[in-house]
Amino acid sequence: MAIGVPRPLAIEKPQAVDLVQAARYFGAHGEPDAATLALLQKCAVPLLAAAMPRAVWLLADTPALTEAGLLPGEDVHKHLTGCGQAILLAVTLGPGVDAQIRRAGVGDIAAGVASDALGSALAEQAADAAEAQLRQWAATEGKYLTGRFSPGYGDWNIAVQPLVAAALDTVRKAGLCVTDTNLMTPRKSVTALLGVSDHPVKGQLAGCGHCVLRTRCEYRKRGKTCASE
Amino acid sequence: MQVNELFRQSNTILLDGGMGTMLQAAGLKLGARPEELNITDPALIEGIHGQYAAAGSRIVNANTFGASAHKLAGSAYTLEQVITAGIENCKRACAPYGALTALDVGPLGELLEPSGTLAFEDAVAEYTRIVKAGEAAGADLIFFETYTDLYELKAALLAAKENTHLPILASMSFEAGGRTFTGCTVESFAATARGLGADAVGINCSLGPKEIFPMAKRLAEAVPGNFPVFVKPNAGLPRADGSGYDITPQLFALQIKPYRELHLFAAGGCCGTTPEFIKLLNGTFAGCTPGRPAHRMPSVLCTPVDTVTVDGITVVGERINPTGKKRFQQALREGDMNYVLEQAVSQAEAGAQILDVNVGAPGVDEPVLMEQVVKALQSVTSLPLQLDSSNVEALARGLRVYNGKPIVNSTNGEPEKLAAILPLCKKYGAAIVGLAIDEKGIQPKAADRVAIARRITEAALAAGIPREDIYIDCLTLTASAQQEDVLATVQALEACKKELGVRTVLGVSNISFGLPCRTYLNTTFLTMAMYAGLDLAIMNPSSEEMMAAVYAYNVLTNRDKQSTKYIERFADRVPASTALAQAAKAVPAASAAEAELTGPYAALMKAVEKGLKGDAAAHTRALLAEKQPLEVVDEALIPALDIVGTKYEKGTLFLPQLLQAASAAQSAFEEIKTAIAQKGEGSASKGRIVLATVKGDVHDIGKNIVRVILENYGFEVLDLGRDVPVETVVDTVREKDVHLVGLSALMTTTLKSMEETIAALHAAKLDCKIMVGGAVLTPEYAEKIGADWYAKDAKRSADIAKEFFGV
Repeated sequence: MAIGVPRPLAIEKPQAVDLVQAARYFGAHGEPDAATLALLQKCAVPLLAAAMPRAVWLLADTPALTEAGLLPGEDVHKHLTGCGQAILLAVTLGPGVDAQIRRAGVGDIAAGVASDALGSALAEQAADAAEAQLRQWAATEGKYLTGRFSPGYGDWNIAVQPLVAAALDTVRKAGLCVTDTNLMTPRKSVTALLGVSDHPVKGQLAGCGHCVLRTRCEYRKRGKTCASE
Repeated sequence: MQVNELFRQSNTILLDGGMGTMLQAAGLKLGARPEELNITDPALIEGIHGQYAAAGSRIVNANTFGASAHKLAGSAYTLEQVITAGIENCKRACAPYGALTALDVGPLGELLEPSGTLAFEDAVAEYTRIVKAGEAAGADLIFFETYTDLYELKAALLAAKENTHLPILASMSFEAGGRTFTGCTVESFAATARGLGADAVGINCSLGPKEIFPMAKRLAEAVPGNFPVFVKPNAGLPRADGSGYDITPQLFALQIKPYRELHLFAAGGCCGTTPEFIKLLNGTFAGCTPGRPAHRMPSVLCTPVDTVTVDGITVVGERINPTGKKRFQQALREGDMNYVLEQAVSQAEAGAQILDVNVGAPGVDEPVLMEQVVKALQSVTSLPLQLDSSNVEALARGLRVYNGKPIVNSTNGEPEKLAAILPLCKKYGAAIVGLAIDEKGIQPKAADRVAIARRITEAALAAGIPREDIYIDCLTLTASAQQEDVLATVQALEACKKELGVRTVLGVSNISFGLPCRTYLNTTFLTMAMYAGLDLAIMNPSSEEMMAAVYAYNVLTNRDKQSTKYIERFADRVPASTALAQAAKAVPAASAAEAELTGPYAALMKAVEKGLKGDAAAHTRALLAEKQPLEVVDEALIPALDIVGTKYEKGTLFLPQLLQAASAAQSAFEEIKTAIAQKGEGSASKGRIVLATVKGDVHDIGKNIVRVILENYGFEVLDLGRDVPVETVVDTVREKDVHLVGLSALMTTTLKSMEETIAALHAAKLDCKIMVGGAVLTPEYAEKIGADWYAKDAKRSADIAKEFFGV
């Protein structure tokens, strides 16, 4: 099979934005105060309305992905230990969310940054929803999946973004493009890889060792990791 | 078939089917570029085209869909080579069957600004290369297909119209909800593509014939009956197991049958369809003549996501206009887009359906500004725009970059004016406002104004502008000066509607110049005009009374069924006069109490600290009645921000609170700027700073925070935005004599751009210092790339600026 064909994944728009997660991205420590929560709630309404989540995925043999240059570095291979196959996934909220973030920030920087945080939270939720469906698919096939591992984790360089997008045909299937500087547009988008195995697999996380932010990460300073808080 | 007979066929003709599907079946590897096969395996490609021609396709698309510079990056072949070979292969295959060869063109694979980084004119330039290569190679027509971004399709259409003589078919891909990925509606596509000169419009890809049918029906209704429409659906929907598409050629043919009622110009297939699918369509359209009976065309103005059908009273926000507004003029001179955008967002919230855009002020380059403002506005609002200028160059610049179908305000009855402006509207597919005035001046009698309107209407029709896109302005005269002629305006309006069949427009607020309580006159005049048939009311949507008149009128004329919209708007409100009486009692008492407790600035400082926007603005207004603007900045705003900043540094409050305080200070600062502009006292600037998110980076939130904090401390910020080319930074620093520059980059991949920008500033030997910031930066790296300061957050950047300017 080598690298399979990309298939659209129908995902429902989440009923609400995860405000706790959004508050965290917004920079709140612990429980957000009443004013911050009220601001997030107000900004969440138009942001959710503007979201048009799309997802596309494919199944591939791990060696074929390596051969196609999609898996440079060590960490992604550690993550795929024991996985003969892997799933590539792309999820985007669409350009309407970017526009809403811009609109919210006009004359009100707090609302702009709050909306940006809400967009990040919602993108994660959409990716969670897509992952849940892939887990259902895996269950029916008698397969097991690792967690999501995205370009930029550890030493899996974001330079793979154009290749991931091309393999998934994201321009045509989800309206997701990659710039010459390897950034995804629309901005609130997620690409990820999940290992597929016929026995339960955990999928080693990248850890902080290769992270570009390791020397000044706010979570590390507080003795935590971005995955643990 | 000859090209000139293309749109005169007696039956719906057949297009071809999928190319990618055929190539995958032939063993094309994923990730390989199909267009290279035009050169490396021409026999394979010619063979596939030949199968389609033999199956009955009258138009065959060459294998050039992805022949763009971006998609061919790293290829051994140029797009010209790939296109030339592609057209030649197709022509050879078509020749025996008399089929036509189309240059097939798809999206470039990059997202355009504002969501992406590809500039509009760069997209036009790239499409120009593509269409020129296609015409030179002998293509019979151009087939733009699978578009999801209307703006990109506009770039493609402009390139084709300006550089070739080929017929153009334009097609977009819609999702099940009837919108493209970017939110574009079928109706916006129809209005815009037809306006820009596409010869036929269609829908392809994404869905099967059954799902596309209702959208194709909408498309056919959105264009005149005689305008060609086509479809190219997929072979149903993708199967869940990834093994292809779910309908057979037989089922496809069955599902195409209902399209007969749409009297299409052409039909074919997209992904998953093969020559077998096309073969089975032969006979489906027997006796089916292209073209539907003429129907009444709606008057449509649009952006991709918002289609406004003008059928009765429609509110055009008038506030993006510097006339008589010193603060607005100052903002335009300083290139302060944020001020302009605030006017747009607040009018949209107040209920405007269209925004008038006028940027003509003394001392500004109006054409440049019109282009900038149109681009900035469409990045934050989805309302259609009315481009308002008497400067032809400004109109041309605005029309070119507008995304959708706008309206131009205005021409008048002078022949030179008509000759200059009507062709522009025709080229860019815009509606037009014609002022019922000519070289002889304003006519007092209604009949004379109608005569001018008639001349304008005839000239517009002759220029190819359809009647539904013609709007006549019968001119609002000022009641205080020409009271006896006021009614003539209303009478002329009524006559234009009835006799000329055009839409009407009035700048309502002109009626009340020089008289007190203008709202009363405006509202009454608006009501009279609505009853006479006014379509576009150019007015202030923040005027509660006037908006109430519009909503009430729609109830009383049975347009707002069950009063739904009226109830939605007014259910929780009290009439403006009552609210005013309540507010007058409440506000001063509260602020007086607080002021007594802790000094004159305490209330404002508290409001900023707590992040209360409305209160901060109100307290600032109150203070400005007695204090100098700069006093308020130094004695209240900056101390309050310092308190918040210190707490932030100590970790007793966090980013959300800091930002809410910044937002409150922003609203206070806006009041201060307005006061300074009214007094004509120059500016409050403590120093001028350029900010930019570097080339290639679209993450500008951090830079935006820095901008607001710097502005709150009284610095003048020239915000160049995101994805800013190196030379733009250098030129601005030089031209505006700036000595402090702030650069941001979020990603490791864009640090290089930051380094290049710093190097260019140094190479240009400009007397400026540079501060940098961004998530992946370190103090060491900042030093290494030649920055003067590393700013770890917005607070630090304000400290750097204070230190630099010694304030």
